[in-house]
Amino acid sequence: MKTNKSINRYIPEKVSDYIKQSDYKNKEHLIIICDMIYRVNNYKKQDIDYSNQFTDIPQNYFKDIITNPRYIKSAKDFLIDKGIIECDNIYSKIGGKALGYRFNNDYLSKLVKVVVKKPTITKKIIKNVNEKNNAVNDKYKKYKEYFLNNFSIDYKKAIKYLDNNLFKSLEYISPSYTSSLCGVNLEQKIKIINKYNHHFMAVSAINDGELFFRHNKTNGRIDTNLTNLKSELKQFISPKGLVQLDIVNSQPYFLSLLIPSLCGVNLEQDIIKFIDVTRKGKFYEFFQQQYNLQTGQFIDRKGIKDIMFCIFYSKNTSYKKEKRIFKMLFPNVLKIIENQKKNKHNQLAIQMQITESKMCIDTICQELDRNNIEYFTIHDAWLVDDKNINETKKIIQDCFDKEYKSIPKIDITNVNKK
Amino acid sequence: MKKKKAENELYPIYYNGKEYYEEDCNDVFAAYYTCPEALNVEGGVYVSEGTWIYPDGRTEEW
Repeated sequence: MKTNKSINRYIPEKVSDYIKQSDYKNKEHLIIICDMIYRVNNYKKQDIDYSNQFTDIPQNYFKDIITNPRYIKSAKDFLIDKGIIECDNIYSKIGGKALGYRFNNDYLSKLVKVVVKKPTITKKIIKNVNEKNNAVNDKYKKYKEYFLNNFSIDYKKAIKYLDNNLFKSLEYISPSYTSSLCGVNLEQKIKIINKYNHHFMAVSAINDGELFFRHNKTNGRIDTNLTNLKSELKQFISPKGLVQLDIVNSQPYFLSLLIPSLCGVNLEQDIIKFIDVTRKGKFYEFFQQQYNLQTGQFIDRKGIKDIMFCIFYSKNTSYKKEKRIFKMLFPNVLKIIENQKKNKHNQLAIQMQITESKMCIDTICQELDRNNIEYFTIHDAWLVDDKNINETKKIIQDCFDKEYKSIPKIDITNVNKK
Repeated sequence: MKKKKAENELYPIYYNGKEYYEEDCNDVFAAYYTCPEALNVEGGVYVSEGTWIYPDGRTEEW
């Protein structure tokens, strides 16, 4: 995060109006505490149904910005006394439970930007963001630096898009939404506004350069503001002129790469067939046709993809009907899948994500770095400038060929226009 | 009453008006959910090929 003289924070409009009019001495402290409620939830995801649940905020989160505990207590007490925020008063050091906070329903409203200029506060926020991103392995340094220095968003257009959606959602539940929050739709209105505020916060964080870049040690994936961004908002990201390269039928394909190491070299006929259709990028079409024939039901490609995820990653005891049809076509492939999940059902999912990240992040991204191609990744996809399509596609396919003697089909789509 | 979520723990998750523990979640979601930072702002976790899955098993090309 770059050094700026000021930092943007985001708090509900009604809270902002109250703070402006109040005679509280350290107004920045009130702003930091209110901003933290949405900001922490955007990372900890404790209120993902937007029903205004309490968000647990450890005391050190406040102390990292406002060093004097007396000031923190004073600001929190003020906000609680005035009925702006509520605290659940549940705290347990042994149980690892921090105090939870939320806004009083009366103060829930669209977030607005508030500029904080106090140097002691802005310096601390910048230092905290940079420290967390520095904890990433040097292997990902080149991508991390490119991401942190270049990833941005057309803020005005993205917010306009969110505003339009908010307006439509509120209109849908109540044409006279502009009246105060009351009546039978209160719960729905709270959810709609909270949902808007979470997306608003996510887009604003990108615009403010408050980017995160984390390497997940369990599955090897890299999580960033981009990987978590709603796809319909990707049209607003910058740089412009990006195209996305995806591996066609990626999950069946990765399974086909794993299979030889799981069952040896003597492959049964159905395994050979499975490997053949996935490597041609035709697995979903093939399974869709067979599934529809067997059941007499028409299921579209998305439905077939969902069924495949269930067959691959659910407990061996569930989704029996779907597995029965898969078993008729690929009995030995199902045996391999079930064998991987017999002790703990998440083992195949983790193994597949590790295989994916080893290839996509540890091998292909490193090769793109070596070839000085700038990119962003979304786990099993790459976003590059359209002038680099062919070179990137060749690198992806060469890497797979070298590692597995297999070349995947690559799908290419436009992300945003220049 | 079940215990509240400790910092950095995966569960519970509040989703669709309900508190979800691992045993309440859809199998596929639970298999893919390995860290809170991987969740999108609507509580989904990325599976693959643009598909996200939610604690109740709903999938979406998000």
